[in-house]
Amino acid sequence: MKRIEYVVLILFVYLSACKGDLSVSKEQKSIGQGSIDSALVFNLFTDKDSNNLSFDNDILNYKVKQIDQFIDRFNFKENFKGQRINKALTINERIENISHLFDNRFLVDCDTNLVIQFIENICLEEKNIALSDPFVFSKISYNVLFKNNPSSIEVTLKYQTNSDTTFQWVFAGLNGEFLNMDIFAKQNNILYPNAHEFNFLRLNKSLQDNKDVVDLMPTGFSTDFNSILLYLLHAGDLEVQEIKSHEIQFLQIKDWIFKVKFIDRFEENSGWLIYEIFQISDSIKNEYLAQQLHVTNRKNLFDYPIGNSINNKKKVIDFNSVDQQALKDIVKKYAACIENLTAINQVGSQGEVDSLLSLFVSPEARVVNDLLDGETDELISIRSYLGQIVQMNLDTQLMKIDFQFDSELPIRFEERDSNYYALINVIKNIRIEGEVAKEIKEIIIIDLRNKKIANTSNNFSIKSSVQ
Amino acid sequence: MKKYLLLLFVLSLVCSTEANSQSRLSPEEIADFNRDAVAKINTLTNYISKIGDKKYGDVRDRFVDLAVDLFRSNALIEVSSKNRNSTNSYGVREYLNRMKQLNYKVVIVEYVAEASYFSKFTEVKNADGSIKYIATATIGQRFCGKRNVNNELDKNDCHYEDYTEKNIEIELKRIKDYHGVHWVVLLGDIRVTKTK
Repeated sequence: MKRIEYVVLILFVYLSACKGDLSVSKEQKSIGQGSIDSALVFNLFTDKDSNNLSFDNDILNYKVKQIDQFIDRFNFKENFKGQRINKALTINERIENISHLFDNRFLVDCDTNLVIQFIENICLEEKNIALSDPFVFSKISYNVLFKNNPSSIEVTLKYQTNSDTTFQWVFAGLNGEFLNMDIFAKQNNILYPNAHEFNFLRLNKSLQDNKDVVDLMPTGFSTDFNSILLYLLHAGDLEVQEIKSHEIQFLQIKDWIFKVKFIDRFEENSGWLIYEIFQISDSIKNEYLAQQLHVTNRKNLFDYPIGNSINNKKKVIDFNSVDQQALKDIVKKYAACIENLTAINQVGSQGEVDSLLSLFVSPEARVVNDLLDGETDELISIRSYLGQIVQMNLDTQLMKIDFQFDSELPIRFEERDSNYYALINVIKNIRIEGEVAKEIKEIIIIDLRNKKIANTSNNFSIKSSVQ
Repeated sequence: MKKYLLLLFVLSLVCSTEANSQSRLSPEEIADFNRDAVAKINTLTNYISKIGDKKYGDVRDRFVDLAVDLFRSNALIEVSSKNRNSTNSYGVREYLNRMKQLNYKVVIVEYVAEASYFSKFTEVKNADGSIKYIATATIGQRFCGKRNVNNELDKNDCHYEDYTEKNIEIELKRIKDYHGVHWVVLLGDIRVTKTK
């Protein structure tokens, strides 16, 4: 796919967005199936708004009705017409699908090159996203009354993974003018080291004056907005009125941030759509998180200190110096955990599930769903995979999975997106009632930075299958 | 005494294993409940049509009771109208009683299949540690309220009509009732996402 073709595509998007009169008929839409054609892009901008209820149902099919659906379309599981995708898409089809996820009003004023780069990045490397990815945040603005005066607060939420691998939205950041305790200007009224000899007289004065108490806080003190919010709500000083805006921000794609919101209009181009994208180095995303989303808790930040400069160099790994035995030990641990979970007459405990999940970079790390019948390249999260194993084990107690290293294939190393991975080949046996039902060759991919399993991959060769 | 203690220990193990096996559902079982969810939404639509239809008279109170039973206890319904910009929230019974008081001879509520979308069920943990599954159903709904009608199927004489899209929370939870402990689908909050 040449870059010039993208340019043509995006130009079509851009031009058609700018020129509202460039609508096409149904007949035109069917032209050029499977190739980049203007008609494929123009239908984004065909305004089918009408004033009666006999509307075109295409509007409803095209609309991105839920974030769940947005993610399915982004991950090429569903096309922009709302139909499930059961085959590998061509690059043109992928571009078409992603293009429909943009708000066409945004495309009118946006930097076209930026959109081209973004779509290129997504489509060429097929980057999958999930709401449970570590850097997905929901930002909600509320109108509030603080002591009967109108004001607003911004709440940032993110998915929390619970110990049983379920998820829930929790506060990750909070901001509001009235929450900021810096309104107490520093008076430099410190308590001298001999204050105890005077019955902490100055402390008494500070507390009474209610102005310079902040000077008495330890170094590194920062106000905890969450606690202040809870107190104000409890004290009745704060009344939350209505939601002013709601958006979801995706920060997990390397060097990109995109924002999605629900665009409520009666057109095909409606529902949950991308309305803003920008390129930002991963090394300064923590600053963005702190300033824009008010996220400062270390566990919610990228894995480096806040304020790292854009020149921060990643550690370069010399593949020759990698301890291969340590990598094999990770795979052995994984194998042992899986074998324990599927051992006959055993029910996998939460502890076993937790220790297995700790071997992966995240509970959402993708693994081959080899529990399905026949050959498959479907990927699911390790969390869901374990859930299936535990359930099958409970249901039948006849399934057992074991695997060993494929001695024919050595460990390979790869650098991808400036990250370093080891690829270890294993042969996996799924036994039902003691008989090998499936023997699969899989690749376990280990992230060399944190020595955790990034994902597994099918090398597309099921050696045998017992009927 | 030791024998009894051992027996008690084995029994407690068996019981805890049994409870665990019931506390989660397989993807196939969850898929079965998907059909239940669709059925409940259809049933609700059916009840709403009858509750708003004056020809059913006092029987409409019974339909209100039946409709309320489809929901979890504290569910809220957010209502909007194309004649105003704001939305209002009501408890389910309050919403249905308001629906009953609408001054239409006939109410037609019908689904628009193209607008519907069901999310996957997601496992969530209750405060007591028990597991339930939740999903969101988006449905498109045409509403037509008629005051003077000769032909009920003629939609052109609607006194009031609108098209709304609603996000309906679906809850799949384990309950204990006179049938014993079992999983049920209940409807939760409903939020209007579009009014035309």
